[in-house]
Amino acid sequence: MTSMRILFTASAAALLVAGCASTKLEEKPAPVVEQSQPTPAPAPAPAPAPTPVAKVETPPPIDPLNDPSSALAKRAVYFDFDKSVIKVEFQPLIEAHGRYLVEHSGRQVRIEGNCDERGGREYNLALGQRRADAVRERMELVGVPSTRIETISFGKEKPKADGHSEAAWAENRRADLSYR
Amino acid sequence: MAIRPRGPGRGRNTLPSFVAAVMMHSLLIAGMWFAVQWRTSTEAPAVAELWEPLPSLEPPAPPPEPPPPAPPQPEAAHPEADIVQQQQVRPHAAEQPSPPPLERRPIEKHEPKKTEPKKVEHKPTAAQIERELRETEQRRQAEIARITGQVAGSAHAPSASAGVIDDAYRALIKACVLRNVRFAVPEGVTDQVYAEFQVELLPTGEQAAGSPRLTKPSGLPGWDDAAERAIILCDPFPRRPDGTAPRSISLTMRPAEAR
Amino acid sequence: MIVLKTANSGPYNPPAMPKTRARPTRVTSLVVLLGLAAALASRHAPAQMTVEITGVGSQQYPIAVAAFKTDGAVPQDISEIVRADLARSGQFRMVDPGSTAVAEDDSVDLPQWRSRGADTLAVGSVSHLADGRFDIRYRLYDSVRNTRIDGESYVAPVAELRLAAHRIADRIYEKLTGDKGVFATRIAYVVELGHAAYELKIADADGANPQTALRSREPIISPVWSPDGTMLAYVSFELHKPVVYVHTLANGARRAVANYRGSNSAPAFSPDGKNLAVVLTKDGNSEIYLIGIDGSNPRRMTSNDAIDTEPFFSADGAWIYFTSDRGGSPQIYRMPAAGGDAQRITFNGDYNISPRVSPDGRLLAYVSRRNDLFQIEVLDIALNQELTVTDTVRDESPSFAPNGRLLLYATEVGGREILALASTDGRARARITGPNGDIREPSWGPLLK
Repeated sequence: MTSMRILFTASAAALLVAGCASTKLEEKPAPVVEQSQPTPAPAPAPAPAPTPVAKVETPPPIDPLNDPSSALAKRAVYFDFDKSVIKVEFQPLIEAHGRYLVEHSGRQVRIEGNCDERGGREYNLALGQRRADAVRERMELVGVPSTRIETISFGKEKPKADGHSEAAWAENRRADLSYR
Repeated sequence: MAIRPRGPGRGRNTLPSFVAAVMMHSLLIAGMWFAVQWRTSTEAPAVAELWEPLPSLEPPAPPPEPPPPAPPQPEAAHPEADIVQQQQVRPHAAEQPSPPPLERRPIEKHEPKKTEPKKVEHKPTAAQIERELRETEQRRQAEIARITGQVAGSAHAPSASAGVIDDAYRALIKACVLRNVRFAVPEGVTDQVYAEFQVELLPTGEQAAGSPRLTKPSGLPGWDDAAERAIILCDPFPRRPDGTAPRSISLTMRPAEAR
Repeated sequence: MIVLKTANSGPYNPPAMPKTRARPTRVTSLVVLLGLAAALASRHAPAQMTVEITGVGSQQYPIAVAAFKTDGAVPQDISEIVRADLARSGQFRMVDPGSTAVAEDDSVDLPQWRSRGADTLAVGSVSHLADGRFDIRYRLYDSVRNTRIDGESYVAPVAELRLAAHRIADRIYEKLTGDKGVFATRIAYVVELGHAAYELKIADADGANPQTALRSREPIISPVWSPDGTMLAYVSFELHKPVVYVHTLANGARRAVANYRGSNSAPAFSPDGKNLAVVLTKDGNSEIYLIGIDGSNPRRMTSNDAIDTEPFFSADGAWIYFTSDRGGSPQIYRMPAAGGDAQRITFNGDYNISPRVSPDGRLLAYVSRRNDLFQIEVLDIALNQELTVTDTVRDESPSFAPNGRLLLYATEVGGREILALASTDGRARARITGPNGDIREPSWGPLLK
């Protein structure tokens, strides 16, 4: 990662110099705004949860979010083309996550909606949003307060699967649950 | 000497001769009978019964839907160089080949369940206009030849033929000028927009000094100049079939047809 | 903008009227009156013929741009830039000028150029000045009418040589077509070099001089120019959610103007430059809001369960066009910018998005999906007739040139994302590819003042 950063910064600097040297229009060229290190996003993989305070002498139970064998290990809901309807097979998963959130009031979740590559960017952003919202509504049905759910969309900007096949498209029509 | 038939049964025994006569007559009649029969009897024609049904005539397969819209000529290949050098317009060394017909579709206000039927309006291309004008010109010339032949031979010169000659001559002028009109008509220009020019011709068909003269500007930027150039480039103007040319012509130059 | 004058302003010669000086007797006066009546009744003098000619022979102006005379090595080939600009517009047919350089004050044999097929001829010169700048001069001739149409001179530092050439191309374009040229404008676009390398770039309209305004590991979408060309607004995912930024080009200062809970996207400047329309999901689903360009004073414009997105102001600021699926499928609607009911605009097909209105307000461009093909349609708003203007089939993000004659858009060909140009009348097309990466999300900047 560090060497990547050095390479990145070096090439950015080179480009910066090149940009300034090239022919200009009336105004000064826009300075390259180097991105400051963005706040690290909560990783899609479960972050190690703090061990819950033990109330009894028995060893503390593993947070189900960290348990790879629990239902909550699955964080993705998939959708049909052009649709934001929650398919029946995903309802139990969403409800399980919802119940978890109800029981762990310290937890927040961000639901990230995605689309496959077909169609306009902004409309797909809204479509991904609708998918995330559909998941949230189902969570609210099991009692999660909306203040602990944020829904955002990546539209078609961050596909998980590359390619133009039906399989890639199906993989990308997805809402992800991201805990923080 | 009158011959009187002998009465029957007189004289010698007539029975054998009677029998012979009957036999002969019968033979004769039988022969006649068969002869007549042979001539008039028609044999029933040989009939072959078809037990297999004839193949049914199916309607021809519907033509495949053209991909909407029909893609025109492929893009010219361009080198993978700097972004500056990437842009290429379709062939610009020669006159642009006729573009594909532009399909303008109206939009219906009601919620359609299927896609709307497409009304294809063909905007005439330069090549088409030329072709049509040439054809019109040829037809008119043939018409002129026929009518001038008539006029020369007839005592009366009906005014209609003079009109036909004039129309044919107008078509020649139009073809001559139109081919040099180079102007990209902006969208939305109506047929109400036009420029008028006065053209003065010498007997040779060449334009006199000062011709053409703009007598009514169109108000459409660039059009008056483009029209004037086209009139200048028609040089010399066509002459009438009798070799004369009108002294002056008023040309109305209109960029767009009525929509 | 084309202004059609309707009043007659040119001289018109009425047919000659017979005059009489003798004192009229009754018979004479009757004859005279009849003669007058006949003269009035006849529309034309006997020798006058009238011909009506409608239409054009060709949509392209044949022009020769001669090599400009130079007094030494010049870093840019001005005449070549002019030729490329005029050719790219699709409205000019370039006539080979030969290799001889012709200066603006050289004598020219116009009939000779005319016989070579060039109705117009551009010539010029570039000379070095003592202070290191360049003196660029040009002249435009009409070789058919034997007149000089235009002439101009510029002084430019080496960095502005290309701009001077674009200005010359603009002048030629305007003199002949009557429309403003857009060769001296700039475009913005996004390049993706890989999954974690995105750049927001600005370049000349011909793609030269690309400069990077922003580099990011996260996607950047929907860049738009402010009406005065000093700022860009765009959506950046650098905070791991979509946020709208306004970015001042002169100094690179940028500000997140919409970072509400949920997604913030689809910025569009109002024509007066004071407000931005944006799409926020803070109150539920995707709705359109107006905010100040500093992010202040959010005002909600739509309110329904459907997706409302992609707002776009009409040039007069009176309307906001937008995409909505309130009717069951994504279609284009418009509502008064001051607030009010929306009316539906598109009805053909079940997928019409990304509305853009031309600067003169006459045309609406949008992306339409028909039979799984995504192409750009241009609607003549007054006539209510649409026309497919592209020959590519994965089209996105159309952006009008400031003279409304061209559309810049993104598409995909052969697995690569490129930019392309289409004239709004459907006649001319061109493609723009870059050396690396995928190019997308173009936005055409305003005319330079």
